[in-house]
Amino acid sequence: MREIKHTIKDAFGMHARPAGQFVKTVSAFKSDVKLRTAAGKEVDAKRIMGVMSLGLKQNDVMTITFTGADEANAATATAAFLTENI
Amino acid sequence: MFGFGKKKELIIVSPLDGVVVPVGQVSDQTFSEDILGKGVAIRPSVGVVKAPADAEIAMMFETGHAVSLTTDSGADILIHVGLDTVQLKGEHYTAHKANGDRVKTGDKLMTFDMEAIAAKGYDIVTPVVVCNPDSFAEIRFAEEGEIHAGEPLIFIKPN
Repeated sequence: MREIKHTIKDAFGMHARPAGQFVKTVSAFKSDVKLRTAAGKEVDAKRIMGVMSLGLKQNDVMTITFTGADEANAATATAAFLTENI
Repeated sequence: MFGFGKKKELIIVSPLDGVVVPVGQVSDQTFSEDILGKGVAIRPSVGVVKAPADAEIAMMFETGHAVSLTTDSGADILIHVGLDTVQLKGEHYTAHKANGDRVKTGDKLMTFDMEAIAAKGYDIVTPVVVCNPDSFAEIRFAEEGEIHAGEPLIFIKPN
């Protein structure tokens, strides 16, 4: 299992576009990916509706866990994506 | 055919009065490249969004510019009123339902001031997207042209 944390920089939070791009990024990997809020609410990170329903805002910290054969690559790629885009 | 394909087609009705346009013509890659799922778009003629199916509100965006619903038939639907309209921070939008609310087809979800939003330079075209297309065998959309709220917009064939 790999885990990364990210603080949202996008001024509008995890709205439709970043949510879609995030789900697309993690869905490229076979690993099981979960997204958790600081308050402990967890969703399947590959499901758009789940990710949007968290209502993540700017400066919220999100924790993402990867479990599976390609978890290392998935964590690296996702961390790079988040740093660049969200 | 031999008992297959007998499951009833699910119908998502239009949430708006307006004109149906292919989502590929929407000038936002998030929608035109199917990043959020498979969808269609409506150019609204009236600023009222109605429930497109019997459903539960999964997420009423605080800004009132978008809503996602999970229909009783299991489709995840996102209605995004206008492009880049998150930047309006809720101005010109009014939400009439909240997260977790049960809605019936035709219930009023949001209202918006089309003229004011357009006057600020935003494209009011409204993508309606099925966010979990992989859960279904086939998804089709109404043809281009005029549509009214309540008329069939998306046809979903269950697996």
